[in-house]
Amino acid sequence: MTILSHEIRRGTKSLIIWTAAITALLGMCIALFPQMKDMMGAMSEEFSKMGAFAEQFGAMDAMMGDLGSFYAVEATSMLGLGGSLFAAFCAIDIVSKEQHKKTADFLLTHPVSRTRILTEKLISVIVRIVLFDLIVYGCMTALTVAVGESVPDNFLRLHLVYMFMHIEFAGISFALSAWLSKSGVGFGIGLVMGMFFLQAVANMMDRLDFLNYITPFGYCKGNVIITNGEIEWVKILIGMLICAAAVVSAYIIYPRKDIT
Amino acid sequence: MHVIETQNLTKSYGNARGIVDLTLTVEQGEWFGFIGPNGAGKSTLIRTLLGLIHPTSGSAKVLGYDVMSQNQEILKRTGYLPSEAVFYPGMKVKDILKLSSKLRKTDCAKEAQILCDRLQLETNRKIDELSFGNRKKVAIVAALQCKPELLILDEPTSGLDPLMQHEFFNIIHELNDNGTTVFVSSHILPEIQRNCNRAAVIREGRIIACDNVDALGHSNSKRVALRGNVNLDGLTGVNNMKINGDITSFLYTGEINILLGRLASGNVSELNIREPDLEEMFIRYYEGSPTDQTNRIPQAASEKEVN
Repeated sequence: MTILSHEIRRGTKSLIIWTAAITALLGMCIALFPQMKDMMGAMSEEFSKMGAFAEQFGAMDAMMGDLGSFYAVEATSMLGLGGSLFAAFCAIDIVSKEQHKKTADFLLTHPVSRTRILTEKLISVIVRIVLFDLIVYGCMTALTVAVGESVPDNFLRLHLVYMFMHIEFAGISFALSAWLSKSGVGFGIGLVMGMFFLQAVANMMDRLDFLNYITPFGYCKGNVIITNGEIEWVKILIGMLICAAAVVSAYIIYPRKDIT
Repeated sequence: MHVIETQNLTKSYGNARGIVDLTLTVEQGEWFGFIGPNGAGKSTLIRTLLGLIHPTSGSAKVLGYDVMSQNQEILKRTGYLPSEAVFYPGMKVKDILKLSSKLRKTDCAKEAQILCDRLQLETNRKIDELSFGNRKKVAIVAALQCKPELLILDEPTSGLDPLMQHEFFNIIHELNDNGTTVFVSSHILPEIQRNCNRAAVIREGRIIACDNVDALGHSNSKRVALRGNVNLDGLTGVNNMKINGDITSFLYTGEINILLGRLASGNVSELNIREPDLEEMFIRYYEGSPTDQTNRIPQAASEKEVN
């Protein structure tokens, strides 16, 4: 497990920075929620006499009225997009960096098989992602209690589903890293942003709904999970199969790759 | 035992040539030199032996193990010094050495300390702070600390000052005396001439000569240098003439007696006749096309190589 501990040590700094940044952004939403709730309450009374406009406002009020719904909206961008970018960054260079940073001549001339190198590097990525999600979840739960709100019912479920998405992005990025000889950071960002927009397109037109089965954002519908605890296991299963196929491809390609 | 044995080893990168039909043997305990200019295929052979790249055709064995299927056995017993020593930034020298020994599942701390002392390498410094030469020293210690059976050195002295080069070769000589086989790739010919038992010359991916270092440097020609005035007009076998003031230098392949006659009839104050050095031979090997060169290799050398 030498490579595993080596990678975890080298990834600690970025883990701390990303975890702190996402925790701070999400934490800000939770910290501001009580104030926002009071404001919404006051505004709600004023708008209640305004007919059709009041109806529209009522919908917004419902969304912002409880912490769970509010958090689900905010989490989409921060935990969804931010966390996925972190997952992609963790994995996209984990294998290829040895080649483009020229440390492969050191690592690969020691008696450690390439399969073992892949395994230990993959574990290090998963460990970092799980730690990231656990810390963010723990901090958010503690902060919710600290601001005097009750922890939403399906809070854990919401975080769990997002963790599946992070792992899926990490798995695909890991495969790209094993294929590439150069830095793949651009691919990593492109992958996450591409999938995010794919979901946006899928939600715009009913006939494109099938795209939700491809993009990991398709199963990360925070509102649905928070409101009724519903998890779309089929979509998650498809995502995990795509992730597994990507990882298997890394194990096929990397041991046969020429390290020039 | 053949420590390195390649049979018609070929590696091409798409349409680009790496090495072509390379057949070579290195015996146990030898200090073998591999000579060639940049891009000739030296690194391709080394990377193939280490399993970093896979041959297109042919076979190669190192320490009796196949480079494709038994790569781990080879790496357990081989120390590799790359030409460019690159490590993980932010790590201290001692951490790099510890990482290397942990990857080899061997405790080499004692040997590492001895080598660091001899090479005057501070183990508490960070890799990022080190000069090119000092990073090279880290690579040397990492390659030698676990006492490998085979050492593969790629341009080993680049970046080392002359004192360190001297100490480095002392260490390698000690290891070689104790049975370690040394395979060194270099284009610093005096290094090869001083240290190696045998050497091979590679050109455009093919070995064009392989023999004892003395035999490689040996030819019918002599390097003649003289101070004074001599009329060499019409003398056959004079090549590579250089005149610098009253000093004349040339390669001579003709009859010695005829040369001596000419010299006696001239006005010579100083005279030096010697075997041309390996560097001159090396330049000769690289003149003309590879096919021409093969014809110019001493017969014994080419036969030995092919076998």
